[in-house]
Amino acid sequence: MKDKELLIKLKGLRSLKLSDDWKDVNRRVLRSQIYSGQTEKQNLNFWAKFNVAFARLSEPYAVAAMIFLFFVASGVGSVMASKGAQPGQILYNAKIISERTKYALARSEQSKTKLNLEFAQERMTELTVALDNNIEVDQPKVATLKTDFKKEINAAREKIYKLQPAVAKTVIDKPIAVKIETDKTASTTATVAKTTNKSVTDFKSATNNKDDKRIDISIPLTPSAKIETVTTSAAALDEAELLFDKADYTAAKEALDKANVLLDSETK
Amino acid sequence: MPEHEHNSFFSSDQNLLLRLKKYKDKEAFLVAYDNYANDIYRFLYFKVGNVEEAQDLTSSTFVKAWSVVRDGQLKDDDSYKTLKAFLYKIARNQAIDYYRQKKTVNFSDLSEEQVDFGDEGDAVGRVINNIDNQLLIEHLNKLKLEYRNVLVMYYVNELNVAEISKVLDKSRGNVRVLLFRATKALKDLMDHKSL
Repeated sequence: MKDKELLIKLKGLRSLKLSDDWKDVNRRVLRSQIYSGQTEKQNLNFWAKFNVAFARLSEPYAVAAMIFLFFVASGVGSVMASKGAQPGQILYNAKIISERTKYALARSEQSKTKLNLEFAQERMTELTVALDNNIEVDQPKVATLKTDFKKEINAAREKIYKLQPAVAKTVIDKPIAVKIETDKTASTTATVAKTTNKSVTDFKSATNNKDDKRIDISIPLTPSAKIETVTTSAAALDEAELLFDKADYTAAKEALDKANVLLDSETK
Repeated sequence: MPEHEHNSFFSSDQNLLLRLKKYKDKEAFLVAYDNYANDIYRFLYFKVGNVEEAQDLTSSTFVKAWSVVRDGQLKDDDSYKTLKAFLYKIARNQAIDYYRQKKTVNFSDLSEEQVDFGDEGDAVGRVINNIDNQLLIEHLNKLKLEYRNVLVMYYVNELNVAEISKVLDKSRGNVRVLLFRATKALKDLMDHKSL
């Protein structure tokens, strides 16, 4: 193949592009975020100046300001209108874009973690609405919502471990007492390590004897553990995920709320 | 030499960059979005192999870019000579973060998706155009990621060598060598397919 021919073919890929609708919606969301994303201090200064200026402005300028505010508000309006959108609805894309924008503009890891929790709640709400409303449930949509929920939970968990390395170490390294019964020797207590990403523990026995042993392992948190006994945000997240997997969405939501509250107190 | 290799110091791209650096001009940023959203999307699509992920990453690229402008970091950084290079660099970093989260990216999706190739030309022309593009994407899919990236940046998105070297943090010489090898690899694939 000649270079020129290849060049023409490659340039043909320039026709690959965003749909006009998506580009427009995203532009409006971006615009509203750019114009509304000022700091509090800047806002106060802006409004103070605006009040002074407005008092001195003649009517045409006031009209121009109103027109400007209308265009900004229409961008913000579309964002607000999309808040209750469900998967498959026209404004759902705007909702997701708005979430992504909020996330990218969040300044601290703590704010991002809280957003992950908020988005996880949102995915769960969408899932429950989808399951409640549809006689024939759209399985791919449900699967996507479940995957997205898990993504948010995992992202929040990662950030919590980064924010609180001590908590991460405790969860990963905390030994669980086990009792090993043997026929001939006295029972020996072995320590095991629990990995946080699995619901079943991995363990290795510390004892040398390996025959005819029955190992009883007590796992601190069971699916039926009450929310009140959970004392860290990471544990609350684990609980929420367990409950979600069991399709107990109401309890899972409570666990996420608990995680939010605990996160606030842990990061003060 | 392709047109885009010429010195474009006084292009509107430069004006936009100046306005962003000096004034953090919001409207200039939105013009930049209008001008480059499709390019960034294309760049990201060939990186991640999925329409929705590429859209998400496009969105987050511009949000991130704005936060860099807003926080004055662009003003402090004199290394970006063009707005394009700045946006592509942000996009590349967004893709890298995506890879880290995703761990594996399934590029076999790349040629199987129904992608929007625009609505230029008549109905038959559009179909033929689509098939050609899909075949080409299939070949691009088989290349190494760095070959694919550099071909898309240079030939499809028309970045010049200097801009590509800035985006990839490589020397211009390295970029030229990479381009040569990538072009040869793609030609070999396409010639083999047509035998």
